[in-house]
Amino acid sequence: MREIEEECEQDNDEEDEGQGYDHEEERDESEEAREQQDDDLEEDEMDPQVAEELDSFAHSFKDVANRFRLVSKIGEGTFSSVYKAEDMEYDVFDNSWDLDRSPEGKRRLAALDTYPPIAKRQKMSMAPRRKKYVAIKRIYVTSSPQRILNELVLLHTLSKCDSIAPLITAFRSQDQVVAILPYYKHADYRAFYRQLPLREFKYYMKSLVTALEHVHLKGILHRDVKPTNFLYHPEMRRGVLVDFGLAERESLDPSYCTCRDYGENDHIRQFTDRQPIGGYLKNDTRPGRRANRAGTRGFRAPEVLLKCLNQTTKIDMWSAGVILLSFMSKRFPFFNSADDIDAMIEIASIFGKPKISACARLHGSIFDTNIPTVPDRGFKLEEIVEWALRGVDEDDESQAKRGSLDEEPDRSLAFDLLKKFLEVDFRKRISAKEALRHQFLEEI
Amino acid sequence: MSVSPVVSRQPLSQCSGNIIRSPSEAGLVVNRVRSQNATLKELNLTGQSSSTSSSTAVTDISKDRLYLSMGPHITPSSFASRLVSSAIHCQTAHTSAMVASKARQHMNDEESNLATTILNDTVPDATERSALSSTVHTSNRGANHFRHPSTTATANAGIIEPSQTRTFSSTSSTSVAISASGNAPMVAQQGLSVLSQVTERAREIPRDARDRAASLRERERMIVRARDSHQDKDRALTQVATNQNDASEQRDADNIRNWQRQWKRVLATSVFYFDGLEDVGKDRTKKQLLNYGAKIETFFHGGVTNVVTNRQIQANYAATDIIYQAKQRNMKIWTHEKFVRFMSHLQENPNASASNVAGTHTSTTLSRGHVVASDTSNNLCRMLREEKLTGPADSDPRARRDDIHYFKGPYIYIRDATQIYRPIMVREYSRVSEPQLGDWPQFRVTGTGKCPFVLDLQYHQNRTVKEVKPRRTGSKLKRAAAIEAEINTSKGAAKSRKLPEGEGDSHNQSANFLQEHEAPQADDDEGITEDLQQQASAAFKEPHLRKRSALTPVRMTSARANSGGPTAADIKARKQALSATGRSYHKRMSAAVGHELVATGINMSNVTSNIRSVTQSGGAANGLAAQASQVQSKEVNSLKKKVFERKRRPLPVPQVAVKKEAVAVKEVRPGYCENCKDKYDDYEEHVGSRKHRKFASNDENFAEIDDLLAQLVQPKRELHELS
Repeated sequence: MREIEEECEQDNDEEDEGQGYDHEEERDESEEAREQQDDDLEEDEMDPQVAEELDSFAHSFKDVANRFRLVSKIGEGTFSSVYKAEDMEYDVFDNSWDLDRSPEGKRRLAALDTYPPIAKRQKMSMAPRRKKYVAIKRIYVTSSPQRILNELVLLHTLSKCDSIAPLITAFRSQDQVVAILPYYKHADYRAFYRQLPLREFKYYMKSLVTALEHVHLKGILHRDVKPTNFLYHPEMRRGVLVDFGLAERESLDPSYCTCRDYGENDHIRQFTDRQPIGGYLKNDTRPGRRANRAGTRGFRAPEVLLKCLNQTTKIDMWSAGVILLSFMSKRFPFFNSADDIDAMIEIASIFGKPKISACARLHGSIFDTNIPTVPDRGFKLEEIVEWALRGVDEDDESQAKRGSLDEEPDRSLAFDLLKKFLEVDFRKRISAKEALRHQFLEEI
Repeated sequence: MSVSPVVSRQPLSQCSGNIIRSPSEAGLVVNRVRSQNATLKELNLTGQSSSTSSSTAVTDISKDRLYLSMGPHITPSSFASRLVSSAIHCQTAHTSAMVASKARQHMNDEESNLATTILNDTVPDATERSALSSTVHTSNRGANHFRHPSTTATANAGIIEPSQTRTFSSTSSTSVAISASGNAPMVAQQGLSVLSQVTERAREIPRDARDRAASLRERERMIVRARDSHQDKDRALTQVATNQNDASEQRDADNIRNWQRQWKRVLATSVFYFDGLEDVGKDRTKKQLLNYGAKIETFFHGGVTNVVTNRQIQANYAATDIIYQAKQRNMKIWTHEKFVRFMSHLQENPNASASNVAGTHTSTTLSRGHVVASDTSNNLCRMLREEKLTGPADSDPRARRDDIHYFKGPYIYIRDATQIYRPIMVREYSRVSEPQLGDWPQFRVTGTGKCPFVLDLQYHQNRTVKEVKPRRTGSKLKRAAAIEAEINTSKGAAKSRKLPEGEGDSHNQSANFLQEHEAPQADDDEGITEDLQQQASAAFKEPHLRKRSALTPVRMTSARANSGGPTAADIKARKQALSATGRSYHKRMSAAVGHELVATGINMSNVTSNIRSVTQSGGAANGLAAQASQVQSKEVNSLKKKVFERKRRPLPVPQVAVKKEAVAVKEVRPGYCENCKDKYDDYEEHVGSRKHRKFASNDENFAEIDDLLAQLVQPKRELHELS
């Protein structure tokens, strides 16, 4: 399942201004999850319009149609649609990407940290005649060749990691490019995050951080880390990071942001600021600060919100932290963040003025607010979570309490890691590599 | 401007003694002032050449002591900007009037022998300097009025200066820009006209002179750098070389940045000892040093790595001399002047020049002269912009300005510290009696699975009877208890709130939706528009409305929660209906809001944001229900979605009776084509257009992709595997 619920705004200077057109996609996640779970049913129930779309796609792209039988549409995003398809010539090709079936895949699978799974994968290995599915990502023809190339190259670069969806192959017919990816069975995050014990969620985080480590090692920022882009199968304790549509290489020579020259003690530094205070200029003709802010609302790191030009792989770590926070507090989404301003207020409501001020200064901005619910002193994440959990429904309450008693040691480790993920100063934020060595994840 | 003006009140005779530097040092030729009792006419520029290291214009008017001085170390990139920040400290309005009139007179005569000189600005007594700088700052406010125009003059004068000085050697002075300050506006007026003349004259200077001047400065700056960095001598030399080879400015900026970064790293572990400079307690450079993590020792000892001295470096020292000992121990020895220069280089923003290049960069063969020229104009622009920010400075800074919107309610205001960009975030909310009624995002207790930043009415309604008792495990829970109280209050508010019913409310809703929908179109309209403001202020005046407006988001959320969210078609229908009332967003806004002055709080919240798309997942986000899509582009899959919705759960009965236009809408997908650089209303239609097909059928456009695809061909299985 791929779906992009993103507010993609690439404010890069190279981008044409027309790029500013509103790109946003939101799809009902649970619908899809259910849809995925019974693939036998879906073919009968297919919406006529979707059927029409599949037909026209197959018709327009013979290479694809000859080898794959389109089954259903499983995702739609800003730059692509994703279809589930049966690979009719599976046996003709080398499928070493396939962890569950190919000999090489099985070897690699056995080496995975999160192996063995809780449940036996009876269906998958026992049924040789079972249909072999793939996911076909149909990149909209309105995407520039550069954008398409970027995604394909990055996917290709990252294919070697088992926590990342590998690119099986790709085709082009005129302006239409499709990427063939493995089809992953997985559960919707919303369906399991409230029930899954913390001990099990470790596997989720470990799998995610492993993927991120690999991505970051290659100097790539995913930019859109969130549950919908991490397809996790709780029983198999396995997840794959998908959708590199917004990913980019970490710039070797990033544009200038004050955070690059910021010494440890520069928090003392004060800016000469002669801009009006207590109000703002009505007709401010100065240009706006522009930076790549592609990503999903609620998962954007503070430096992205502050339009830092020197964004690093740490932005993904923040997003991973938001997922963990959401899990710990049993709240999803945790941040609503209707827009960047709301996002900033939400973050500030938790971390308090001093931390956010320091963070703003780091990126050459001055943070000023008198919103009464933005505290002068930040809250501890433990407090926040405890506080959130107070709203647990009657039924869940006893369960949550029971769970939290057994999990006490794990919980404090989880909080420790959480704090390191959600460090507003990206320089102090934990990296994926460090996170894997963190006791919470190391213990698996 | 980042450099705060510094004024020396010392008589010039003293200053001049101080500015004599060893000409050989750092390959710089330093200007010096010979005139001991300089008068306006006697002041001559006697330096052999300009130097990038300094430019301190000093004007001395006989007995009336008036100096114009500037920060040190002018590099081409910052030259103009720093000149600009110069200021005049006048003791009396009379003096400034005199200066101005004299200046005028001389300019009229086309004589540029008005006193100017370039003076190295290591003002000996830093204590006095800092004391003075504060007084200057105050007096500056008065002077601001024509400080900006003066910019032009000084900046341009600055450009012609090096070539001229080189050409004429020590023969005569260069043009001068004077800005006088003081309390007399008349003076300012006079000064203005003088300055505009200076500007004109400066503009007449042939371009090649400017070019030469610029490249001269550039090279000299590089030499300074090369000299300064003993560690990176080689690299710095390469810099000089690349510079001569006309390497791009961007490269320079990067090199500078690298140089700065490396030095900052070195400084973090350095230990400094100030020789003979103990009294320089408030020296700004010392503070900066500490900021970089360096240590400053009061006493000299073996652990010191750097010594800064106020003495000249000599060949031989007595064995007891600190410098001798420092040399023995391989410590780095700085003269104070060099050190100050070094520190200012370290703080310089290399991007100041780089960004200018980016701004004016049309071809890579841009000559340096152009760059500098554009530097100047950019800086002028910046000054003008700054004046816009700070307002005409002859006015009382505390006076209210018409061009500023002052916050009345709670706000968030994140502004750019460099002042180059407009605020990064500004939003103001309606004032409310209780914080928890505010319509900004707040952390609240919600039911499991629901976003804590979206008010969960259902949860609070269900829990009205049962009071949650705070588990007080210590003082840290006090805050939690306070929030608890807050929630109770909002519960109360929630209870008193009526669910929307009937016509009027659907209007409200439309208004709200419109705000969300139209936000992207209002994208670049980043100010509060007047009508919105009026509505907002009207709401302030109407207490009952104020309360309502504060509650509007609540209402919205709940409406959505109860109806299961409006479908895309609903929204569309509403939008169509409303768009009929007027084409522009604002018109539509007023039309929609016309009936009642509600939702102003939200209007306000749409203000300055860079909202490309606003969605609110709303109360329906219980993890199971569909999140209704609310943004235009999401109408996309509406039909398909609806099919699923129908399949999987009963259609919710909407409480709000909204007319549904049950039309089989053809699925259109609006968007932007990156290839044709066109916005389109219908994807299918655009993709079939001749322009797009032309692009699509040209394989050249996809050459790179094809190269990659060739590598991505999936290998076939080997035969033995098949069997």
